[in-house]
Amino acid sequence: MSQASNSAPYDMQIKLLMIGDSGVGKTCLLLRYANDSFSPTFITTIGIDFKIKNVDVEGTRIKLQIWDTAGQERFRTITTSYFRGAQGILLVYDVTDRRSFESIRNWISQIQQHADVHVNKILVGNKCDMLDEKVVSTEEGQKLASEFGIPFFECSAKNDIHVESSFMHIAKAVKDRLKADGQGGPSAKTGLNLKPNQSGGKDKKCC
Amino acid sequence: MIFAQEAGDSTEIVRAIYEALSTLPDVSLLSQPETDKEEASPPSITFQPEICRSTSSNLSIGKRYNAPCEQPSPFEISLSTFPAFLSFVLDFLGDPVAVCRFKMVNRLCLKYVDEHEHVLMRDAVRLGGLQINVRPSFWLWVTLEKDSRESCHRKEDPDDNVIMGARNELTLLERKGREGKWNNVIHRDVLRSFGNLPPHKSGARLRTDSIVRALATWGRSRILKSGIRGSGDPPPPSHSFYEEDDDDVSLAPTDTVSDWGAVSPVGSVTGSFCSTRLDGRHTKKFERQAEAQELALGGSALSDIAKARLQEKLSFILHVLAATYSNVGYCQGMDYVAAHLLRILEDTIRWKAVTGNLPSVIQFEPSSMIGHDNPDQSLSDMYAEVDKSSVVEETCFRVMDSFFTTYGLRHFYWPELRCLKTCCLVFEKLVQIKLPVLADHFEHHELNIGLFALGWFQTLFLYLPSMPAATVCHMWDIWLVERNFKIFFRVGTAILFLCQPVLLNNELEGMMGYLNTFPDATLLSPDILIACALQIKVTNRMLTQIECDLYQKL
Repeated sequence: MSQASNSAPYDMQIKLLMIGDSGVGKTCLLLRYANDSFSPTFITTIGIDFKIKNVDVEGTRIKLQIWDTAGQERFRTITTSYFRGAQGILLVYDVTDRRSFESIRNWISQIQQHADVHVNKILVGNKCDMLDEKVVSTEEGQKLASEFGIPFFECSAKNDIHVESSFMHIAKAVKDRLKADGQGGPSAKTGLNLKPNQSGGKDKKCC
Repeated sequence: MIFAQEAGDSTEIVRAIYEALSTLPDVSLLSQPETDKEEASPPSITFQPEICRSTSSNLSIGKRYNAPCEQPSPFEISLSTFPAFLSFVLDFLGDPVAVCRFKMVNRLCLKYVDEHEHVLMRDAVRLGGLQINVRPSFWLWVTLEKDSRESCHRKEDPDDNVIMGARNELTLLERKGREGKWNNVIHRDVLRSFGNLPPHKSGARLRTDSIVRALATWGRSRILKSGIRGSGDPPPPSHSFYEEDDDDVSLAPTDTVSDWGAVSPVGSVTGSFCSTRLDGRHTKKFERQAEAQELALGGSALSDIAKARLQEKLSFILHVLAATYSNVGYCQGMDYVAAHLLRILEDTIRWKAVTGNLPSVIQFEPSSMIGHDNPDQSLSDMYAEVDKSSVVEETCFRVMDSFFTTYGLRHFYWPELRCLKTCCLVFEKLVQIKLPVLADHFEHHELNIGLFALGWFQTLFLYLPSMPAATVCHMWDIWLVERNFKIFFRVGTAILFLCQPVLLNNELEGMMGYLNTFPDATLLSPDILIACALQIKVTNRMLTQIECDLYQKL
């Protein structure tokens, strides 16, 4: 099982993190992307979960390590300790829930506080298939995204709309950035990308 | 052993006790201790070793157990000379039901068991565990009745008044909860409760070649135990509802375990497919299979109707909890605990409501429709009536409330989660002490224990894929009798001990993958995990010491 994924050949490893309020569909997006499966009632994520997906982006074999976090506010102190070391962050909100959209600003300030400075970000509005219940318009989402200068996608994990393209987009963005920095490559595996608390050191042990 | 010299062949006595137990309805013929309780002094039995033979021959004859008329039996003699002998017997039996039943054997037993009930019960639960059809009643007894008996004198606590209110107060609280800020989150989580496990988490298999088997010292084999329990005739049914039942009466609630009230009709873990047909013939074998296979997490076994019904009740419980403990509010993790509780207890509470056996803290007036004078009424009609009255929700809420106050569970859910984090830190230190090699490995790969342990503690070990409900239940049994989180630290350490070979061969990614999915479900089976956990020595003093050290560092 896990050994197999370890030994799989790849040129670059990228750590992605999915954040957003509770119930916006982070787990659903991840499982649609990684397993191509969907259920409206996946159990609530407790703590942190992760999945591996190997992709090919413009001839570079990339191993995506995608971390899925619990969304409830009081777990934020725990979630944020995994921000460091992430190379790409997917900010997810629910187009049928304005509150989840409004807390995106809060999440962004969390990123600014806890994540690496150059981390790539992407804004994702999930559940865009539910047209009748949609309360956050595409324009609003677009506007917020351009305010922070990040790409924006409206997805549906249920109907498999734009799920793959948003993950590929951020994977490509991270790959390009790392290539430009002269990082990446198989050697990067030793020490650069894996660790959630690498620079945190000892004081990071508060779960 | 000491008592062997005094009482002759100890194994024979134990066998005799066991035989007496297997003919339980008749044991009460020996004496009726409840009726003459006012006589506090134990019966004075003169020590007459030369007449020890009478009962053992009687016992071996068979089911009709005849009380010795004049002479004290070897059992009585050894009991009077060496009362602790009863502890040995009960520990050997490892059955909490037996602990209660021994109160009925004679006054000396009653006195001894009463005095040592906590220890005896604790040992019995640890060693043997509860059978699935007894467990719900036991939980209700431990959390509601045993507790209320002890706490009636500490009622002056102002916080308790809120909870002691009547049902309409609960309804008010629920409304308050629905209007409060948690409504949205609770609603979302309730919809996902009893949901599906993500596919990568549901693929665990029991493996015969599992390395875990080599690591775990087998405790008392479940097969052996079930073989013992299987013998002996089940007691005859006595309720009119059960007249259609045939020989499968072990599920019928005639078997009164003195303190807990009736044994539940069905172990509610199987409730998903049994609740609608109580008159069915669920053999013990079937039950046990269900117990072994049912997973604690996810509700794939539930029908849509059952799921909707449970979700409605869960929503009530969570709203009332959030309103009652307004400073804690709602925190993810509570939903898992409450959902599991609801699933285990539901059938038993309904049954008790129908038969009027609910714990005294619950005020439930069976309506005129429910009653023994109406034998034509089918059980499902009566259950529908019970469901309307929200007595199940209320009882579950009170059990949760007891978890929160008596068992201190609410501390896990405080807004800053400080207690939860402290638990993880303590656990980390514990792993360093107990499994130093693994702790080094974790440190080398910068794997923070909180990454997985947080979820374990937050949901009381429910959030582990492929965790069988039986294991969680046994763990909770021990937690409930011990009134101490110690068992969770032990189980956590046991899990890491059992996966140590795999973990040591993996890097961060592989370790996380393993701990997130548990592809080898063997290690989570109750026979292995709990037995292993109970062999790991963790004392309260140790935990307190670790915690103090942590605070000094901070």
